[in-house]
Order: sequence, then structure tokens, then C-alpha cells
Amino acid sequence: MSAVTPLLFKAWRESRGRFLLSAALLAAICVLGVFCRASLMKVFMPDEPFVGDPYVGYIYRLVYGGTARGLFTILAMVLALGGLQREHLHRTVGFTLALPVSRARLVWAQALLGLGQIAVLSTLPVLLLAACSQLAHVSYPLGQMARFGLLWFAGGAVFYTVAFLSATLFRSEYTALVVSFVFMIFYPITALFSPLNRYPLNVHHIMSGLAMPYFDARHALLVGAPPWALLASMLTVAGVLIVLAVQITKRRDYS
Amino acid sequence: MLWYKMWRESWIRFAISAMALLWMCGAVVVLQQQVRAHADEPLSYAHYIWSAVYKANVLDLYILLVIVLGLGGVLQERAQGTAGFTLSLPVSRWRLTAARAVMGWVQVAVLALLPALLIPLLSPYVGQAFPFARALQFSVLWFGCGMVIFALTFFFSVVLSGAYSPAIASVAGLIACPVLAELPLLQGHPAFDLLETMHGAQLSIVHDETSLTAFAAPLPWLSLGLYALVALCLVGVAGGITARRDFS
Repeated sequence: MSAVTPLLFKAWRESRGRFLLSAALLAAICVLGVFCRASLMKVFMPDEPFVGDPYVGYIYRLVYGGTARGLFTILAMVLALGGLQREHLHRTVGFTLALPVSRARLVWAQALLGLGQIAVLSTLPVLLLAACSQLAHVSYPLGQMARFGLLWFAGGAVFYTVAFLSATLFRSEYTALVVSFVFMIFYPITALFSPLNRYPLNVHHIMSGLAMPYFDARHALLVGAPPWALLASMLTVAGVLIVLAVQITKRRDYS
Repeated sequence: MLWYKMWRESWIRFAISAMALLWMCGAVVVLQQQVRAHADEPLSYAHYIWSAVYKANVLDLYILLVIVLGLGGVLQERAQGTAGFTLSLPVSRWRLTAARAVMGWVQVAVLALLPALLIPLLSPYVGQAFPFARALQFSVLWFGCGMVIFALTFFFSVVLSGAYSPAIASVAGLIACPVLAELPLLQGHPAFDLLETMHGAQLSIVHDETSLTAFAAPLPWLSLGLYALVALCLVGVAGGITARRDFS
């Protein structure tokens, strides 16, 4: 058995509570969103003119562009916390560092598992909305869900790795959390300043499609080809942040 | 001494939160011309401040920061192996709980006050004005609702042992609020929609109005009183659980 499997299992044991709670919350929003749509539509689709399919608009506002997306972003950041800094605080870091694997492997395993969890969370609405919509005799285009899932995964990976780096930098578990939250809301404002405002830097908008050329706001539908360049850029940023976290961990003194 | 301990445990979170809020409010004021120029409809300065600070981004940040301030406590200290030291202090567990809650509420109040101090002060530099009294009204709303959010996280921190699970549970609770407020049983009671109260929907009677006169309603004191009561109850229950729990 390679060293990766036990490391992934260790990372899973450390984060499974948060992950299962996160999955349950997202699932609850999707399932209740479909089956309780009669009353929830009044909240998410108040008496505003909407030219597209009301159900499509409602699911967009509840899941892909609204509440569930915001929650997903927060959950992605919370999933990233932990790691060696937290273990140092709990005085268990010695046991982990004594394992016959390099620090780089430890960090990569944690990051890999986290990204896997982000992938599962981004796929969850696709599966649940498809199944529940069919049961409720309504329909939401599968292609749309798959593309939003892709956007969520790339955006979620960025937020995950920001929090991951933050958890590597800060010793206090709550400081890492507060820094991650501040970044999540702080940086879209920064992106409004010139010359940054010329580029599509707002990951929240990229994930929801808001004000993006690949999104038709009137029908709440993604149009054209997926933004491959943006997706690749976001995944590259995520990769760079993980590499940075690995380098910091390799050099840090945990004694 | 107890206060100093509570302060030491949370001051970094509080300082980062305060700096972030100040920066966000400053950025909103500085960027006002740019954002208002690109708005779909003409937007008064007062309405812009309300949309950007009291209804959207800055409010979201405040809520998240309050949640983070509510985290911690003896149950979390147990995981770090320091719960024994805290419990051996010559004070009752009730006093420990009360001191942490009061320190948290003070910090929540200070954070709520920051936009009210900064925005009226900074507005003249961009050729605008935002009355302090109006800003203070929103701060009262933020504090009133922030108390409950803090108490909710505080309660979850006593019930859930994971370091981050209380934060997730609190976010879930807040998401559930507007949905619960739409239930037929609660529909006639706007107090149940915590977030709606928080962004001052009642204060901005007519959202399309473009002058400051749009913000002219009195504060929802009944709702705020109810929130304070709920917050006290949550902290009371948390204190009760802490007093009875075996931390060994």
C-alpha cells in the first residue's frame, strides 16, 4: 500500500465531520428548494418580471447564483482549515511529523483530499437537483447544472486554497478563519479599483456568471462555451497557492 | 483578570475584524463615484451607502466576523489541553461563560459602531454627506442582530465539539432565518426575519427613493428587544450546559 492512502485517510478523519455537515446543508437546500418551491419562490422570485422559465430562474437564485453558492464558498474555506498549525496548537504535531513521510506529502495529501471534497460538493447540486426535479415533475437543464458545477469546482478550489494557505500561515485556528472570511469579501471590492477592474477577477461573479459574457441574465442561463481560460487560470492559482503552502510548511519550525 | 483572559483569547480576531471593516467602509466611500456611475439606475449617495454597506458586502462581512468572534470556549479548550487550567481558576463556570459572552458582545458593539464613525467622517472628503445619526441607527440594528448571531455561535460552541462545526451550524441557522420567516405561522411577524431587520428594510421604507428622507422610520425596538432576550437565553442555556458538563 502506498503512503498516500493512509495520509488521505488521516486527512479524511480530520475533516469528515465538517465535510458531512457541509454536504448535508447543501443537500438540504437543494432538496427543500425543489419540494418546497411553492412557498420559497415567493422569497427568491418576488413579483419581478422574469422572461425565462420561472423554475430555472428560481433555481439560479436559490442555488447557483444565491444562497447555496454563498454557503458553498464559506464551506470550501472552512474545509481547508486545520493541518499542521492546528495540530501544533493541539500538541499532536510531533506524532504527525514523526510519520515516515515528507512534510510535502502530508500537505499534498490534505490538499488533494480537500479538492476531492470540493469536487463532491460541487457535484452534489447536479445530482440532487436532477433527481428531485424529475420526482417533482419540473426540469432544469442538465447541461446547465454540469457547467455550473464546473464553475463551482474551479471557484471553490480558489477559495479552498486561500483558506489552506491561511491555515498554513496562522497558528490560531480562528485567525485563519477570520482572515479567510475577510479575503472572501474584501478582495472583490479590491478588484473594483483601477486597473484591476478591467479584468474578470471576481471569483464570485465567475462562479455565478453574474455580469459575465457567458451568462444570459434575462433567462438565468449559461450561454456559449464554458470559459475554459478562466477555469484554467483559477485552477492554476489554486495550484500555486498549494505549492506555496507546501514550501512554507517545509521550512517551518514546529518545535 | 477574567476579562483580560477573554480579551487575550479574542483580540487578534477582533483587531483583524475591525481593520477589515474599516477598510471595506473606506473602500465603499472612495469608490462611490465609480460604482454609482455604472449603476443601472441613478443612485443617491445615501442609497448607495445603504446598498453597499448596510445591505450587502460589509453587512455580510460583519455577520461572518461576529460568527468567528463567537467561536471558542471551554469545550474548544479541551481539544487544546488547556481546559483544566481555565476550570481551575477560582471562578464559577457561570462567571466564565458570562465574562466571555459580555466581552464578545462588547466587541460586536464596537464592530457595529465602526461604519457609523467612519462613513460620516469620510464622506465630506468625496464631496458627500451621510448623517451620523442615521449611521448610528444602522449600528443599533447591527448590534441588536449581532447579539443574537454571536449568542447562536456561542451556544453552538458549547454544544458542538469541532472547532469549525459551530461556524457551519451558525451559517446554516442564518440561512434558515428568511425561509422560516416565510412560513405561514410567522409571516405576520417581521421580527423573525433577522437579516431583513439587520439591513434596515424597515428604515428604508421606499427603496426607490433617492434622498435621505427615505430613511425615516423609527427603529424596530420590539424586534431588537426580542433579539436581546433570545441572545440572553442562548447564553444562559450555554452557561447551564457548561456548568453541568464533565470536561475530564
